[in-house]
Amino acid sequence: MTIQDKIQALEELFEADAGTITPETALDTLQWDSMAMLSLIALVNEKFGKRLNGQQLKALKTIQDILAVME
Amino acid sequence: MNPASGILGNVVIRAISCAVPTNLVGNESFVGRFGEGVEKFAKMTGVTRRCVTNPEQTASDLSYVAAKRLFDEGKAAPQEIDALIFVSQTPDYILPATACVLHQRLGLKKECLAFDINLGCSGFVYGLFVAGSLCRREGIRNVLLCGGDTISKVVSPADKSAAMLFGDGGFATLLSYSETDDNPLHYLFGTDGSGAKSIIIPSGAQRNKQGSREISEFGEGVLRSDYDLYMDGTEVFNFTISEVPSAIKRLMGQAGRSPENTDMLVLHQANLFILKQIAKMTKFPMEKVPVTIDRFGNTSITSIPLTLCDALAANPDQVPRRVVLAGYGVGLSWGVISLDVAPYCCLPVAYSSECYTEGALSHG
Repeated sequence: MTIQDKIQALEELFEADAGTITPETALDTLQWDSMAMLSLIALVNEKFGKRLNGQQLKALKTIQDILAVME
Repeated sequence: MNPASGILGNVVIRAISCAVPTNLVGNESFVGRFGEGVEKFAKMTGVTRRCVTNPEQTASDLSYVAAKRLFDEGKAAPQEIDALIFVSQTPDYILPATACVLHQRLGLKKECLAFDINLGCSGFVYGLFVAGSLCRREGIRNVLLCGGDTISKVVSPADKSAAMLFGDGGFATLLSYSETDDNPLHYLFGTDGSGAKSIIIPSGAQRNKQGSREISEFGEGVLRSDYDLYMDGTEVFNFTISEVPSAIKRLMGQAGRSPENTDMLVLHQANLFILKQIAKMTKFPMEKVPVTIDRFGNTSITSIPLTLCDALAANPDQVPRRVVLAGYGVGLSWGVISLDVAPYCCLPVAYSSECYTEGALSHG
């Protein structure tokens, strides 16, 4: 996945308009609720075979933090 | 290494019956306590209302109503039952086994096995396997698989993550030995005990005798005591997506099933988001994944038989439906079974507020 693909996947996950999310976007300006968290767990599991626990989720503050996990 | 999977033949399901409490509780009654959280909760879990027991009503009361109905409909006579199994995490007493209480209440004969199994979300699939295995033993022909849970009684009303999720319910299923072996049942089981604390009620039995009854905060909007159910939603979700879709796909491969040649994938009704995720990962269209969590909540062990009866009882024809059942959760434990179920075996869901008043006891 290129960085553009990842951002696009996150825009879909957050139900945000295309082009509105950048790496600097703070998660507390988005719908960062339990549904978004489960969606992220599923996305990272499916595309990158990784498991995110509660502590890791709590530590995420910006889109850049999420992109760092998506590898 | 043995795969904990295989084929079980010469067994037929003759009836499935379910009962839920008459008392309906809608999400709106929680708006005062949880505010906007109620709408978000409904969007993710799919739950809009649930059926909740009266204070005196137990899981065995609901299971009794379901079993009685099965006898009243002529599916079997009480004297024909050779074994009674009761699967539950919310029994009537710490001891004796609830199966023994139900045995006398249902008027079964003395020449009958009766025992409990303590399992939740995977319990119906386990129960089918254990009951089906018993049917094939000498001296046993008909097994009554009963069960139910009243999780609403063990959840803190101030726990935002659980208070609106669980509904109560009970069921009874009749399995019999069959001379024909045309449609064997395929099964697959798994356990990950390292997740035992992911869904737990720590106190009330022998391990934590001095648990605190004080309600304290475990996280935002989660207030509970050591006697209330605790569920680590993130861990349970991780477990579910990493184990359950692969187990379903493996079982279906062994059974020669595909989403195309299978009529229904009946999943434990954990929450709607999880159901959609599993459907997507196993390539089942949602039209083949029946949903009852919206009207009944997560009914623990009863969710699979309840979903079967809800989907099939309305048109009781005799054409067998090819179904795959998957139960997963507390333990952590999972089980998948593929089998044929004819709709005329499934009775319409019963509503009851009946209680076994003779069961009330006190030394006081």
